[in-house]
Amino acid sequence: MKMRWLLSTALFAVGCAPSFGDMPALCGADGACPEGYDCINGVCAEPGTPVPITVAQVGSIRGIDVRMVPQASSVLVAWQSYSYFAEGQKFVGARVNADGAVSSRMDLVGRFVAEDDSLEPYFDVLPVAGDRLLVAISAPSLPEDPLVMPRLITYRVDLPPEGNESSPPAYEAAWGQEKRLDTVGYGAVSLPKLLDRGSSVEVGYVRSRTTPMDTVADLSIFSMQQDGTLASPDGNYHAARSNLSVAVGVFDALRFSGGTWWVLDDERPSALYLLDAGGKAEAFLGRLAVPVAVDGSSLLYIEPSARQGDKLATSDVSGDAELRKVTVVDAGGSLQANETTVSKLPMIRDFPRPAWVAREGKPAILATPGADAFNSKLLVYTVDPQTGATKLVHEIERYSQRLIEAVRVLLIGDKLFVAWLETDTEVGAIRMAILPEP
Amino acid sequence: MLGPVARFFLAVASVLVTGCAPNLGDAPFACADDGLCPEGYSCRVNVCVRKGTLPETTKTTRATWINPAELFWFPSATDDGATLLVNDNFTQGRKGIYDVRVKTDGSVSSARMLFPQGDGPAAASSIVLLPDGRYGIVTLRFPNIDGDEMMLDMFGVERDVTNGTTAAIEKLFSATSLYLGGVEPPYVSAVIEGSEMHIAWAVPSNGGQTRVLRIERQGSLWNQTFVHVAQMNDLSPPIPPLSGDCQLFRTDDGWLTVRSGFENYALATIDPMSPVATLVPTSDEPLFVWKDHQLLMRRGKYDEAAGIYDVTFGIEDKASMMLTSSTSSRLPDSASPFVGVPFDGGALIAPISSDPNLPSIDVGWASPTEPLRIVASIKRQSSDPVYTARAFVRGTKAFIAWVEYHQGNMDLWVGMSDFIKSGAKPLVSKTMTPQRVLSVPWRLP
Repeated sequence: MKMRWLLSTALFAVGCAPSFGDMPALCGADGACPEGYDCINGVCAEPGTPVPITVAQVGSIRGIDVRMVPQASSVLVAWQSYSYFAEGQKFVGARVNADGAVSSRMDLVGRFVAEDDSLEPYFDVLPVAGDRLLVAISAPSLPEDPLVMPRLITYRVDLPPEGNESSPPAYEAAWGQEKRLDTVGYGAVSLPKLLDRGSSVEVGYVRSRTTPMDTVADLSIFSMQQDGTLASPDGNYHAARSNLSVAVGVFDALRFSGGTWWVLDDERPSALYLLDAGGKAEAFLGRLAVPVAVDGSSLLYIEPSARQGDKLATSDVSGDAELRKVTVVDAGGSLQANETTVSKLPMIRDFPRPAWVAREGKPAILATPGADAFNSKLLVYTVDPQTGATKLVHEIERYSQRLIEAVRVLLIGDKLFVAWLETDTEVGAIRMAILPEP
Repeated sequence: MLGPVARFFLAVASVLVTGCAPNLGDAPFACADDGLCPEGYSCRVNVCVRKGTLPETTKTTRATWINPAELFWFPSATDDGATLLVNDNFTQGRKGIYDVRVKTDGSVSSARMLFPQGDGPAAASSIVLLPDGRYGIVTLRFPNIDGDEMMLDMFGVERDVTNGTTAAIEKLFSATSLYLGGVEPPYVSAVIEGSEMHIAWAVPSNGGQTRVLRIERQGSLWNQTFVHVAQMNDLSPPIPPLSGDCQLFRTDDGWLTVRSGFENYALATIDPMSPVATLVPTSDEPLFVWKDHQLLMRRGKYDEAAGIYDVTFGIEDKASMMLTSSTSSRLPDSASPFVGVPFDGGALIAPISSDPNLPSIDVGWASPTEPLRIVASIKRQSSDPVYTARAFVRGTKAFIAWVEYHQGNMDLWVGMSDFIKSGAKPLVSKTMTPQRVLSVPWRLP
């Protein structure tokens, strides 16, 4: 964008007079724009144009590396800089207020050892109390390390109060040492998932391992105090993924009174139903299913529209999506999962994963680009989780046809924060729109 | 989507259209993705070059990453030169195996798509020459979203087809194994002698196994006639099965060894009569294995600041574990020969150099009875970091392919020099100018 602005200036200088488009350039340092244009969210645009907020310009990062968590009156958007980026491996974030103001970028975990030529780390963020966060990070072993086992650790991060983001956060490892977890491959590193259990916190991770006759996976759960201190040096392990891929991550953890649904993998997903009092069942979901909400022993999930052609993440999709429910029942002393269809949904692709916000006593909110991962608009629906009744309530104009790699939504007060990551082959940007609650 | 270079090019092009005419010079900027350049310029080695400028003898295309295991040289079928096959495994829209023909007069053909692979999951590959003259291309690929099994396939692919004709591809053999996840399939390896082929691959289920299949031509079909299995689960240091890259070494007398692993390696001798093989961990990086000896690379002191290893290449007597000959070298941590290429009872390795900047790609040769010496060398034209190299000898010529990192790209270069087995350096009497034949944007798989 800056290059185009300079080029435009050069054109004036040499006497050419091209026509500006709707949004010709970034604003000048003082918000200056050509005559007839306003500076809207940092971009010179025709007055009234709903230009998305630019939270950050990032490198070409993965969709899973954009997280958004609630703060008292704002949201924190977190992402990571890979070790091979100029500023090195770190986990960073910025707050966005309801009025759209983006804070200074903050280093959440400003240093983490990772290798340029290894798989990039994974991370998850959980706000726990006040301005404190926990950040869980998993990463491959280091080259000089004789152990192949991936590393897992949790940091505690104390952010400055809202509005004081120019002050640096303080961070430290909440664990005395990195956990090392079994693996069946150098690249078989699980996404970690943090879960708030009120008085305690858990982090889930899928370890994979071999036995003399088998290759298996376990959901590994480490319990912590609210400040991230491990409650026990050992995790709890739950066998999972029989006859399914084992080199997978934890994509969600949905808590209900008395238990948790842990969602494993995004391509061949399964959901592990764990009761606090003991007892478990594993529901094997359809390919690319996206669990979105929980109601006790029932898990609600979206079965997205079917991929076509080569069936790649960015391939076309066709057909309606479906809202489905899996319910665990006690069948003669053993827990079994039964599935039902709630209703049809509009066309929804699996990539980027649709984002969902559950609301007490109200329809849920769903954000998705629909059928097209390059859609210049993001679609916001309300969805009744009981009936599946769907209503399109907003279309967010992106003013871009870059690939959408991730969509996140959060409801803070009466504002709906919709963030997305859009990328091309070299760069990416995290954008946001803030809407009234539908 | 246009990258910044293409956008700049289009912007400059618009300047030209609107009547402003800056002097752009002879080679002002990169071509657009489709090779587009302004009028008066043509795209050469990814750069727009003013027509009439002395041309570089280069052919290019773009991809994403070149695996060190997936560079294969063969004698050309129609002349005295050599043909390089390379798997571009990661470039969306252009995935496939390409061939590049190098003639002894130094001319190099364009990279030609020989075996398109579609935009599905990445596939590991290994290539041999079938007795009927076709390429035998072995692939190991992950399933698409509907599938649950990894697929090992062997295809017969015509070597020489008329320009404009697509090479016929015949599937000759298939095997499957449960898919357990992973970033890309571990390397698969194939060797052939007559009508008997061995294929090594890692099967992650059952605790992790390295399997070596013997398949034989029976009439017009190829069928599995034996399988050797080596368990991987109890190795120390461990070789995780999803990273159980396989490399087969077959000597002229038929001695067969499989190397398994990535970073950590283990070797297993393949006894033709035994279905069980035993992997034995090795602390060095075996580059080729004979019955009683092995050619290895031993990493020594590492200069972390400079990113340079002291390296010893040597022939080790397997019984005594003593190096019978060795030479010291220094390599940047980005570079490794990865594997030796069997030749004349010994093996060729490249790059090998005492200068870690690798100003030249030197090729070494050693055998169990003759010490390591430099047998060919090509001066590089760039100072980009070298990733790997692969050498091949035919007659009096050595053909060398190497891969360099170049900013966000990986460049594949080829060159040719005289081959002097007696070994001397400098020895290059007639070296062809190295030619960059592929330029591929990389992102780690």
